Amino acid sequence: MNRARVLLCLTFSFILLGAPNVDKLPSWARESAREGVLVDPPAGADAWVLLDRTEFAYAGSGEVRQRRYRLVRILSERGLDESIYVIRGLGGKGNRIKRLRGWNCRPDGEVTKLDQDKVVTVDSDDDDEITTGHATLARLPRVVQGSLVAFESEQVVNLVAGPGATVTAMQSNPVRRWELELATSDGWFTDLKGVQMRLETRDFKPWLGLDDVRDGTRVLLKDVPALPKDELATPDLMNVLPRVHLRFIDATQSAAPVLDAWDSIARWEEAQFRKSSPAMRLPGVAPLPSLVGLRAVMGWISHQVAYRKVYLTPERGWVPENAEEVARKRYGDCKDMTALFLAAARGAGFEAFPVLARIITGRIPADQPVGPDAFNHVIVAVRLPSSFGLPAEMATPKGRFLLADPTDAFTPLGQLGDAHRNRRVMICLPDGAQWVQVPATAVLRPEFEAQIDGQVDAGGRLKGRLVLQEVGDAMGLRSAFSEGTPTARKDRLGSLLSLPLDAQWTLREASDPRELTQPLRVVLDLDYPGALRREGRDWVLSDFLFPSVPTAIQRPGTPRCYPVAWTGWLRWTVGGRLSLPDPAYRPVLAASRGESPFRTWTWKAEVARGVWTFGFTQERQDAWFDFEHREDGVRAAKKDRSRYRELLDEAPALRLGP
Amino acid sequence: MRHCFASASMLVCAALSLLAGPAFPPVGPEVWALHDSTTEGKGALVLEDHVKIHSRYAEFTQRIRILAPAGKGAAEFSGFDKDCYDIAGRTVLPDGQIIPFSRKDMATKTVAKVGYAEAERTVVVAPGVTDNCLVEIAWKQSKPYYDIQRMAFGQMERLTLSGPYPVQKVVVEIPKAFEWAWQVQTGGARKADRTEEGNFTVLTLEGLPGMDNPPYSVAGPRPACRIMLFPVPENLRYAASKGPDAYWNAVGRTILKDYFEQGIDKGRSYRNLLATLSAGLPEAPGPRAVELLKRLDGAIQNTTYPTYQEEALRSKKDEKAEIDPKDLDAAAERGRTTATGMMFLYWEMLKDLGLKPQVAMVVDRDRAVFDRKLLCWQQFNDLLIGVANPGGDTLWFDPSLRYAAPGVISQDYQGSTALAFDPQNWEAKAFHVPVQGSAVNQRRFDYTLDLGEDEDRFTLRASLTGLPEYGERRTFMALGQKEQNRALQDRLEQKFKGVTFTKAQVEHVVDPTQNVAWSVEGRIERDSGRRRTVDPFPANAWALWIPDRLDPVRKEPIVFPYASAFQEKSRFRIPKGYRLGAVPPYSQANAFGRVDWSMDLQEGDLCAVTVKVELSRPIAGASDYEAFKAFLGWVREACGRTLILERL
Repeated sequence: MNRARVLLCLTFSFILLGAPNVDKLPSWARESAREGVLVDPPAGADAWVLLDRTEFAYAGSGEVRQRRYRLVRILSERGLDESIYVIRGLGGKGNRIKRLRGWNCRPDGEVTKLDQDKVVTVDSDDDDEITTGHATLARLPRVVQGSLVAFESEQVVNLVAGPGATVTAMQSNPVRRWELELATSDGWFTDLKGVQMRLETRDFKPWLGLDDVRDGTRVLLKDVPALPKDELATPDLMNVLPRVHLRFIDATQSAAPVLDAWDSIARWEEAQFRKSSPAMRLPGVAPLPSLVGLRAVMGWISHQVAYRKVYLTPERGWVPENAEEVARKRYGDCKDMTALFLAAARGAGFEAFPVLARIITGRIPADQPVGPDAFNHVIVAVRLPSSFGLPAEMATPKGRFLLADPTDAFTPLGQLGDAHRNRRVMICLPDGAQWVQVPATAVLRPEFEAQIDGQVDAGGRLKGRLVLQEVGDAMGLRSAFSEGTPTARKDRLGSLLSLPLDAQWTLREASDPRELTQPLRVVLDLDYPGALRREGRDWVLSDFLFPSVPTAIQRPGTPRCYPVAWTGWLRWTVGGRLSLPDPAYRPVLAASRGESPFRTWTWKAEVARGVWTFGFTQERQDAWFDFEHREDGVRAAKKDRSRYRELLDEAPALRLGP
Repeated sequence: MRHCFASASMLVCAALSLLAGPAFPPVGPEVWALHDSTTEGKGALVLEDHVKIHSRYAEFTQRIRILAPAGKGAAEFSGFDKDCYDIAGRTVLPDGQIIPFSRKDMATKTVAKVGYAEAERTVVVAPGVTDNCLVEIAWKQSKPYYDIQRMAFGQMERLTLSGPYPVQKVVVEIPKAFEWAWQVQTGGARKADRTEEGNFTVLTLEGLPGMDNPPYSVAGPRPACRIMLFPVPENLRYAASKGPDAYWNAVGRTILKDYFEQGIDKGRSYRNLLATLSAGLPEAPGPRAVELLKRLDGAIQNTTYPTYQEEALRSKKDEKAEIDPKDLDAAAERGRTTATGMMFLYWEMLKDLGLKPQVAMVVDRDRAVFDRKLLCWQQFNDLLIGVANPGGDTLWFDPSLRYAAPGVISQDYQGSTALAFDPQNWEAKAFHVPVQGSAVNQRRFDYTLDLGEDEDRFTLRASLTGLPEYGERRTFMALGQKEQNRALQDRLEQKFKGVTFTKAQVEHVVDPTQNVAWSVEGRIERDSGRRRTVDPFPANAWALWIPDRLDPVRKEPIVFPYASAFQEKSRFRIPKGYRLGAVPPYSQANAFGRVDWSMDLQEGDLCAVTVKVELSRPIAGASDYEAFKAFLGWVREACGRTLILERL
């Protein structure tokens, strides 16, 4: 009774103050709208998604129809972003928007509908990718604070890699009610007997209190919080945010893998690559069935084929180009470069297979639900009858394989780049999947070393020779020097050293950046006025060769939401031998050794007969603080930062006299 | 049947022509003998850029030699418009291998679609490109050069042949009997030659340098090679034949005069508004014009730059209503008009008050510089209104800038050559748009720091004038007060990650009578250490952006955005248990301006640090490069200084 009275009062206040005309919304939105305007929104929200419902229906032959219903209450000016509705598509005839409608119910009672003339479709090309993909943007006019914004869309999608997807519930704004439903035979859905549906959830806790999966085909969530903002050292979000994995298992179709097991995906991928990679010879490369032969293949691809994502048809994002065509074009993405490597390795007498991987964004956990979107990269496995003794060899129940990443021009064959460290990859064999964990020992450890030798005059001017050495492409020097132009070299060195404008450096010599068996060696002559300057009682050498102080990972006083994750494996060494203007200088800090969850370091310095010799080594290491211990992680990061800053204050400092 | 046959033969012909492609010339040994040193460090050299203009279309051919991985970008084609056709090309390798472009290397796709209107582009990705190859491409493009009427107004075709890569040779062929006027800017070509061949005039330019974009430069003065093609309207043809003076005077007497005098509607509402705004204005022309603009800006809503409130309250009817910028009576009655309408209102009011205004046509220096010999008025980008001070300079105004201090002119026009027209006779007179002094554009930041045991707290107040003030106003104008404060706080939090901002307040954004100002409060967690480093200005960007590196040599003029005066002042007490040694002042000056850092210690522990950067000469030649580098170095030194407190 009391509740009814309160609702009545609230309804009257809306009428008096001006309230959206809910009756003019479509029927699916009215109830949520009525409820949503009568309750207080979450604190600090700019907009409140009152309803976000998505229906996925499988229509056969790999085609999925997606209907979406979205109702948002605009709470602030920043929330006006919700007046724009975006649908991304792959382009082509198989991917289209069948319906798109929108309503804006303003607090003054006015209702504006989406004008189809204002719907804009734009190309999705960017600097990295040429694609047929596009984004459709619908903007509702005259949206203001207090508006209720509703969108309804229906989209047809042909998922080349199989009818499956991963959906996350958390968004930039909080969601009051979030629904997802799968079907093959219900109302507008097509009746397809024999097609199975799978729906699995992951990482709902600790974000969401309720995990309501109904009949294995529906998920209902209430009060989904907004995504946390402004946190650094976060783990890969695909591994920590609550998500729903969905798939349709249709054994009758052959255009895409059947998503019933990893084995099916592996077999389908292997078949795709087998089709695109018949044995071939690369121009000027002798097809030798030996390590020398494989190195020649890797070398040719690294030097002759540029990594480029060019998808001039909708399916090219998933289907590899024919290897002969890749050799003609001399560019391609990971699939294309893998196809070329496989073809050339087969041409040399090896058995070789594609390997699906995930790099940069996320890693594949052991309980990853079956689905094509687990992966974002593909590399190569070459079956070895006997060991070559290389770190990236993996012994498996299905044989010994050498893993190689043809897109990585700066890691020698036999090792993998840091992006693969401690990741699980799936070797796609004709008889199914073989999962492998990539050990750290298989990965080339990135290293950077700076050695300065010279003299400092009484005015603090440093003149000397600076030798930089880099393993892999740790600091981007190797990739810049591979560009082959002075501009690229100077830009990278300028940004790396970040010296004052009156400091001069001249490039004396550099080793071949494409010679991967040796570190890249760059020798510079340096003239740096004011490199040693007075700070209080100390004389301090500019810290331009040292790693910088890390940025704070959390704004002080703000509770941490994400776990703390730090991935880093770089070894950084600095050495110096400098003649000083006065033999009475002595180091402020003669030796130091430090350790934190994020790094270890050592420092040693002495001045003997007016020559200052010092050495610094830092090794970064992975650090992980889970949800329960995330505040410990913030404290540890703060302590690490503080101690490292203290080291940088003292290590490069000298003092005159005893 | 005949129709089918015709179609089939056309298809066969089309297929054959695609297979055959254009006849690219043979590749001589001199092409492969080229060395990377010819590419000015860019990794590629355009051997020839050939343009042949016809009355209905144009033919383009490019020959690009790639000599390093970095040069592969020269063979990337961003997309061809829908009116491009017969696109063909090939990549040639040093071993003689030829990789022709095929259909697989091209795709036509929709790049934008609005309602039913669609824009398509053909994407071409050159195959077989290596770090040592030759890429050749040819295409045709439909061009309505025959159509004088359709393209008569507001159109000028500017084909820029210079780019980031050096060009060995440019050949431009233009029909002798060409409907449009044309001109070729030779840029920095080492050699230029003009010949007549058959029905074409052929221009050959050799040795065009690659265009760079060095820090603090603008595109306009860069010596680029451009072809300008433009129709000359009937009413300007005779004047154009008489030379630049006659042409520009004719532009004033026809184009501008019509623009300013035809269709202006002034009625009772306008007169009432004028009477209200002109009451009690100062007598002297300069202050009179300044005050009038200030009042006009306060009285009439400039709908081109609405505030959040105006946008939220705008009715559907208002939204649909078209505003005629020349209907000054309607503007006065409804209290709103567009930015163009503001210009007409101001112009008419100045005239009606007897202030004899002038109008100037100005060029955006980031796009081009005014070329008096280029008889094409479409080269201008904007208009300014001027009022002469007796015995003094002309004051220039841009009434379209909502709530800008009267007299503030966009930096894009400052220092550029423009044309002024006096409506008494509408004759053109060249002049330089004044470079406004540093006193116009001030940024002042006042800090109070409280150095605590575990954290430092501070307050900061920013006061701005001129262009920086207008920039802030535009940033915040479309937002309500609460959102302005949030936007400021977000901006600072993004920039200064280690600082927690506890309060942010933006002031006077929609008040044309006061300058925009803002203030913030914040705190910084302190790291432990033997020494204590104090940044006196913890939430300030440096006075000027300082690049990571500068090339040893500069060819381009130096252009800072605008002259400015920057001052930041910080006051704090040295905490107990610490001491601060004497820090010598820092003071430097040269032709660009002066930089000062000073510290004042009072009562033993009350410290005041002041940084002043005055940039008084924002435009200079490349010969002042050393002074420019020194000036930036001083700014870095002064703005980056921190203080070290040592434990007692």
